[in-house]
Amino acid sequence: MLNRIASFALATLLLITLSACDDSNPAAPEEPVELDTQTVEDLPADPTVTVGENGRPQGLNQYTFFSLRDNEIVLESGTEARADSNSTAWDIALQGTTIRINGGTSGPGNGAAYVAEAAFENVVEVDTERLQPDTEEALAIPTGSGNGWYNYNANGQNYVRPIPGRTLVVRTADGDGYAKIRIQSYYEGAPELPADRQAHPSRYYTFDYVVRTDGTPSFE
Amino acid sequence: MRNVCWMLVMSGWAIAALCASSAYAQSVSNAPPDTSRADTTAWGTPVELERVVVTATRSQKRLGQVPVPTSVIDAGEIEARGVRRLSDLLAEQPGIQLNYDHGAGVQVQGFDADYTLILIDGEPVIGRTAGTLNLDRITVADVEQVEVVRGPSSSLYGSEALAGVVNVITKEPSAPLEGTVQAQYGTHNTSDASIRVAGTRGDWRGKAFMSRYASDGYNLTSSATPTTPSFTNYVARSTLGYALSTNTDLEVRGRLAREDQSRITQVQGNDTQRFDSIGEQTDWSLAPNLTHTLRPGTTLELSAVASGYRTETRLVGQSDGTRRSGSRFNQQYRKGEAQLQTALGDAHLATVGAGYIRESVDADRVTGRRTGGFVFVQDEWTPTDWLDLVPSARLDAHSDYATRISPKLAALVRPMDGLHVRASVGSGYKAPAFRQLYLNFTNAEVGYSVFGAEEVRAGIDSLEANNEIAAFLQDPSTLGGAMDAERSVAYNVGVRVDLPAALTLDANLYHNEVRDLIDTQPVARKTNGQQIFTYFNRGRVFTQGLEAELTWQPRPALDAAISYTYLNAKDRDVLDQLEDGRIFRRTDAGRDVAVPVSDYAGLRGRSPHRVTVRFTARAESAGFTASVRGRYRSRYGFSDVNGNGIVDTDAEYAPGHAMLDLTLTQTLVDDVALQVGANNLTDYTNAQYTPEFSGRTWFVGMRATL
Repeated sequence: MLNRIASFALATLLLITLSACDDSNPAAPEEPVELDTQTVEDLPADPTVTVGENGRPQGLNQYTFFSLRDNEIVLESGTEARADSNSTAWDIALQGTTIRINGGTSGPGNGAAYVAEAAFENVVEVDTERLQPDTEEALAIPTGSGNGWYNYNANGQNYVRPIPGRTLVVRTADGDGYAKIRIQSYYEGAPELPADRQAHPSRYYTFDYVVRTDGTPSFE
Repeated sequence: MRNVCWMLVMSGWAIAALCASSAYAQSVSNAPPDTSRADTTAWGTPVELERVVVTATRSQKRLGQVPVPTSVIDAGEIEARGVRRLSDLLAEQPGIQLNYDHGAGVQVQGFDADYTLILIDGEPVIGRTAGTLNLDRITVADVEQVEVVRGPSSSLYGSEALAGVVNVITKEPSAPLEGTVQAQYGTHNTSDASIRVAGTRGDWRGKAFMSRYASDGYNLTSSATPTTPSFTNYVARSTLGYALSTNTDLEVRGRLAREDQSRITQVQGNDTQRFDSIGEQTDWSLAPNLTHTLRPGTTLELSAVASGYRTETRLVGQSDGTRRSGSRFNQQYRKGEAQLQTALGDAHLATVGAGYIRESVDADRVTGRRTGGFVFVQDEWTPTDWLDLVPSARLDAHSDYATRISPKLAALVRPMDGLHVRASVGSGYKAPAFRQLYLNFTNAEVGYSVFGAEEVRAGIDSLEANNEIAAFLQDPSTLGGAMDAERSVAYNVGVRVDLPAALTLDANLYHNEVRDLIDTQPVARKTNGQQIFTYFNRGRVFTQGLEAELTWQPRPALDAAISYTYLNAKDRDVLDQLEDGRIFRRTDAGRDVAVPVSDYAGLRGRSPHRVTVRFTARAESAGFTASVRGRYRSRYGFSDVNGNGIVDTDAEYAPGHAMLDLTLTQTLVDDVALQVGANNLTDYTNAQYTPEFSGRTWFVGMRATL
């Protein structure tokens, strides 16, 4: 008797375990959403092109426009024709440490964003209440050291460092997609410390992101 | 201005009241406070508790009767160590950590150098760079003693005396004719030579002192720019005194210092250019002082100070001699002060004072002027044999920041012979720096602007008139109000106990709670996307710790001590964020995790542990003295590496290190002494963390006394 109960329990347990492991669970109603983490390396954001008076670096004062949905640059900061900036093809625009989103005063799209104070992995739901477009008063991703995604000179060595535990949560320009972004580095080659400024010029973004385009405000 | 007038009226009243009350007080039968200087034998046999100090209470008091943590370094000790600069002297002291940021500054009870007041003969020294008053500027070659008071003394000295006070007291003329010549030469072509001549004749007395200190500097790296520049520093000090009558004495002290620095520097642009970086610094002070003894035990002192500090730096191209860029800084300080001290009955010594200060700064980015008046009172009260109570308070009213009242109460209990218990609670403050009030700076390259609190309204108005403001982040009408001083409340509890076997233990526990630290915050966004910043009172920190020293003096010629200091200094706002789990770091595996509160190192540059040892032995008959000093500091937070703005991982610390210094002195005939010494015997260097240490250095020196 005891044996039969034990083997029944074992069989049930086995069944539960197996079904939990089964990827092709027929109960899943839709096709699985791809939520892979994509990495963008060394995205130039108006890098230095000339050295001005007193050795000061200067860019062109133009943004790089990037599509999170297609993982591609829509318009480089160096391109002269700027017409594509007035479209919903791009989701974020970067120049120096400033990041704009395609919505509100920054673009014609329906984009919005906020900065979550949470680890990238732990941002699983989009808090849609917090999503803000860019406005005259403030950008959705605040500028300035310690306000948004970076610290400047926190170590007295004039480095721009991404703040750990800050995740940018973005609604894409079409208003249907959501992305979360973790910035890894502001320097070309993403060194741990950009001590060699020649080898690792600034204004090159390396970041990880996850984008979901089916309209569900979740990354699970 | 109304504040100032009010204060002058109030102080006049206070002085009048005190005169009246002392007139009615019973005749002063007990002797006035001891006015004689403590004896120092040739090489400074310490007579610790009997030594007279003046800094802690602004009155002459025996060290054993001072109710706040105070230490003294006397001329004999300075000579036995062979040190010439205040920085080198204080570097070896228990309870003090030297930090090097725009010069050598003291860290007292965990505070940055900005928070310790530096005095020469009781008058403040001006001229700070980024908050640090470089103690290399101050020679100790003609110094009688250096007194260090730890804990706030704003109730007597006002601003800057938040962490403590260092008072450098120079030697007074004491014989018809005195003369001393000292010279030292060592590694890096470092030389220090000084001459002092002093004398008294009838009612006159005078002193002239001059020193020259120079070095080639050194280079710890392979870069063309040396680690420290070459420099030549001159200091002249003089005193002229005249006894107008048996009760009245007039003295004028003057000080003039000049330093020239130069080094090669490279500017990297499209092509690399070499420049001579040249710096000049002038520092002067003139201080007349009238002391009048109204009757035994009642003294009126009128003093004035005028001082100035001026620097100029410039880059001159090596190839073409063109001047590339330069900066200048000119600070002026004037003070007039009256102080009345009187014994009231047997048990009270009352001190009241009042004064007026005018300061100005004229520099490339900062121009401002401010005035202030102050009044202070103190009662040194001995209710019974075994108890001293010293309440004091000071009111400071200023033209450009809020009025401060700084009270303090200190007590000394002597329950039995050989046991002193000290306790004090007091408040300290530090006035906003000139840049925090008057800075007007726009970064030409990036385009952001920073305005001092007094400049921000005008600055924003003019930018708005030019349509350069995109949006306000704060209501502009709320900006530009009176800024508060940074302020603290401090608690100190200590004991001094005589132990068997010629041992003495002195220990002090302290806690400082600091508010209204001044920091920048953005107030508006410009049309170029950059921000406008101004200064606000917002930071909160605490510092707490233990300072303990065990001294051993089995006989006058043998003196040894070991000290231990524990320090814990943290930012309360950071602690709040850590407790809320809002500060993260990235692990090697690439995950972001919340930083545990226990991993927070606290404020940077603070070593939790510090140990010093000191040993001085004198063979009087042979005329030989040996002095050995050692010090160790444990690792300390250095810089943020992982981007979260705090020090929380091992890579963000500077390593702990130890130093050992040795000086041997041989006296020859008739007060001629030869000296040889080595500093940093273990040859510790670290170009990344401690470029101020050049490695082992040697010196030889001589001293001749007339």
